[in-house]
Amino acid sequence: MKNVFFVLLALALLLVQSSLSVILPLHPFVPSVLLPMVLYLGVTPDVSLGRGAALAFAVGLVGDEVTGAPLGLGTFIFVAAFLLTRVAGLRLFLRGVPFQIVATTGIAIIAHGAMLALCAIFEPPEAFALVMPPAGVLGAIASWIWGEDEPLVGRAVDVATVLVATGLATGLLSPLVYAITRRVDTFTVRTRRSAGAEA
Amino acid sequence: MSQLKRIREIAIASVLLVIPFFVLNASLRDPSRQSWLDQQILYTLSWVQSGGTSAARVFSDFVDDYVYLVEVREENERLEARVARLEAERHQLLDEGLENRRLRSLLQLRERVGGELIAAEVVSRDIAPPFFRVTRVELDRGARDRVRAGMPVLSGQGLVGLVQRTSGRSCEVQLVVDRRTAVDVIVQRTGARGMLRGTGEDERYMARIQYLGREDALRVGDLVHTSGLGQRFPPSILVGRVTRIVREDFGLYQEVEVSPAVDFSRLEEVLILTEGALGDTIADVAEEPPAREP
Repeated sequence: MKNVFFVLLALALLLVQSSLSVILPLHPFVPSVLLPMVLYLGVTPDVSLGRGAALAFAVGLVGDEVTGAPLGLGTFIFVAAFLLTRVAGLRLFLRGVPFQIVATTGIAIIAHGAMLALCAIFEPPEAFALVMPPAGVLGAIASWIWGEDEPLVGRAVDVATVLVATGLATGLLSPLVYAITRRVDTFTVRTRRSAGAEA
Repeated sequence: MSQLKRIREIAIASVLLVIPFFVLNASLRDPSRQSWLDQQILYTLSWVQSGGTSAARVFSDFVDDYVYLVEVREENERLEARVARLEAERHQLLDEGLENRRLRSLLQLRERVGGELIAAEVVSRDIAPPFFRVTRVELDRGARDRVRAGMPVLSGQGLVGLVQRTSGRSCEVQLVVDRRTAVDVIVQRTGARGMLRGTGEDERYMARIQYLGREDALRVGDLVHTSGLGQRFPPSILVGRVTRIVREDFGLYQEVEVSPAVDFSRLEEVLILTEGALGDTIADVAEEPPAREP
């Protein structure tokens, strides 16, 4: 039941994000609401390796399904992120909100970079032309500095801008997602304990 | 046992890490170059996708419906406020329309009556219980406006009464239905003349015509106007309508009840005739020649 709640929470967060994005467009500062959930699984010692990986898999699948990303992309990255945080032994919650934000921002940049890299491996890079105002401005500046003959420089700046924007947005939102996830987690544990006590 | 469990969990995690890699490979690969394994993976995942899409649609519809309901509620509140505002404006327009009509009729009356007329507004009413009949009205014009006792008071509907008493800025009006009021009147259709007196009844506005000969063939509904004789009221002002006629087998006169033309309970604006236009002839009052029954 706890696992179902977790997946439903992921679905709910995604749908809330998609509803809010219509009212408040933040592009390219689009946070990943699911990544902090996966990191929570990674840093919570109560979650076993197998269960955490399965939940990260399910959350990633939900993310791919709802966001329209290539199937398996988010799933792979989330399972990998879970395993990495578990191996690294991070304890985000013991070090306060600033550490949560910084650590999540860093991990989000790496995760989204890995996503772009995976896409570049499996698909031609033309499919990921990133046209957006801030990145476009930076790309234009880069082209002005390095010249029009270096289009790859402009593209790299575009990609870097998006990665940093997404990472920052994810990091800033992460304390809220951690709090919600923890609340749901403790609620389901409490419910289970009280049910056991009654039995 | 613990070691076995650990190995099992690592195996599960590894499988869960590898599966999406294959799925990603299968989903992003050009369909013409997909292997049998890619097709099987995609076929299996299509079921998962289908279920996920349905669940997402249900949830999304639920959220959309909720948002829609919230918007509907807000719109409902906005519309209710707008309806209330429009309703108030409509009432105001209706009031202004009624006032406009009253003022127009007063203007027409002023042109018809001639003489010097001043407009006045009713500022208070004396009410007689239990039927809430108006027995007297007070106007916002008084001695400072050259209003004196005995001056006729008219409205667009007809004769109201006469000024009974004045003070500096107001005056009291004795209504035509007051038992102390006497008006020389003429029945427009027949030309019959008589003296109209108020009955002063508590339950209704009523007056009677006295000294009306039995031979005058009046009908219920006949209009009664001022005759202008006696120099108290201008001629041709509507006083009321005949509502009841009683002819006894004996006597010289018949008893005629007249309902006043003016609705005293809704009286708002009036004219006070301060000077002139007090006719002394009834020649121009009767538009049709008097028709007397044999």
